Amino acid sequence: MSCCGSSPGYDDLDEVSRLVSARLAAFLRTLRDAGFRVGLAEGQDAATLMSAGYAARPGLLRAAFKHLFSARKSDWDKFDGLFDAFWLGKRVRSRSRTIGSTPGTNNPSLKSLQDMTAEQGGGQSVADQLPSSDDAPEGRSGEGRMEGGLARRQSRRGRFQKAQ
Amino acid sequence: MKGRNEIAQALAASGYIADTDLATAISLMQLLRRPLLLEGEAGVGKTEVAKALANVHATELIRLQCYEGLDQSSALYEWNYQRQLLSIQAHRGADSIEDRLFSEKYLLERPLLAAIRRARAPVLLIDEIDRADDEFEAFLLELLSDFQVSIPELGTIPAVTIPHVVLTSNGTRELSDALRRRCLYHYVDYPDVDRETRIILARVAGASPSLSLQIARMVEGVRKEELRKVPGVAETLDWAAALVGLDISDLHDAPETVHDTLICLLKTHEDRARVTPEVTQRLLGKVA
Repeated sequence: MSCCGSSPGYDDLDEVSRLVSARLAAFLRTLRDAGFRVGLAEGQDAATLMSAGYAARPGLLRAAFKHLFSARKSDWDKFDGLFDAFWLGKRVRSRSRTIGSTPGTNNPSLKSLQDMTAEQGGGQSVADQLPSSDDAPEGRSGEGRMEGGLARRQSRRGRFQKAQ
Repeated sequence: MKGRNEIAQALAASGYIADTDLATAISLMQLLRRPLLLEGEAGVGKTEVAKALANVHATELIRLQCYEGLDQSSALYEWNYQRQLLSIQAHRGADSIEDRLFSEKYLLERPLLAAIRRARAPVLLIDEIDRADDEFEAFLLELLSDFQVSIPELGTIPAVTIPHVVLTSNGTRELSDALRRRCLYHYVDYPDVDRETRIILARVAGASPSLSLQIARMVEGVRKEELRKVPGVAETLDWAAALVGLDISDLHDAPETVHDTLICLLKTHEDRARVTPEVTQRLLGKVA
């Protein structure tokens, strides 16, 4: 039910759009892992929102995504925590797993989202608020904290090198 | 497209005090052309959202009240059998009458068909969808996906305009994932003290700001008691109107009247018995 018109192919996108798309796709996967029933239509509408200027206003984006992706009270109650953990790197009480996300600290389209953390955190930097690896239970690295695609790739590479 | 602040202001002008979350949901309805599913306890103001939205858009509100056993003939269309019979009698012997019996002339529009055939997009309120059967919910999917309906005798009827669709549910039955996924979701909770105060001020003529605040605080306290039926916003407004009608300007001045009028909030015998004069006094003590 998103807006009509032909959308560009993945190869036609510039780097920023690709990063945003990749990050959005990772967020959708995170939501699915958390039990949300998220389909392609919701993904399309989420992309519509991001390109409609919502990405520049994190508070508004969170509210909009919450309406779009929640389907029941249980979704509604846990959405804010998942959003904050994924996009803002905040701690959440409930355990969530974010996978496949790309590092976006230098991405201007995503920076505004992270700037909100600094604003809300009274001047703390994003890095200051990122959960430490101490939060993750042993043997379950990545759960309960942000886990970037790069970190996962490095982790896999390390395991591969050990195996060799 | 209106921004959420403009929408919140427009709703307020219609007497509905919305939080920014709800205003965001309404702005998304327009942007994404999705229906809005409002879920929450009875009496929190879900139906009022649709009424206020119709005011904001200066358009018609078409309401479909759902109930167990609701079928397509009550929701979509019916043939006017009486008129068809009269026509058959009037044109007895004419060959062509059969062809004309199932035409627009004999079609009775019900809320869903009416909503997609208006020249100006109306607000379509599908109220208490959880009371309808699974079969009806499945039928709604076609309408909410494609905004067209199929009438066997007439073919497919596409929407002239896309209505602003609001569905409400009290959660008495679990709705299907398919229906939920087609909608934007908003959970309507009981208002906080600040919002409830503003609602009273907007809706009850003669209620002063200080009395409205006291009432909102008192109601908040009542809701925290273990009750069978937690009072909703409608009950708060009834109670506020009763107090204003009794010339009460400060709850502390008339504790007995406050207790007696709590029947506006407490709708079961059990709840009434639970909130004794002592409980009322305790709750009043927390109201500044």
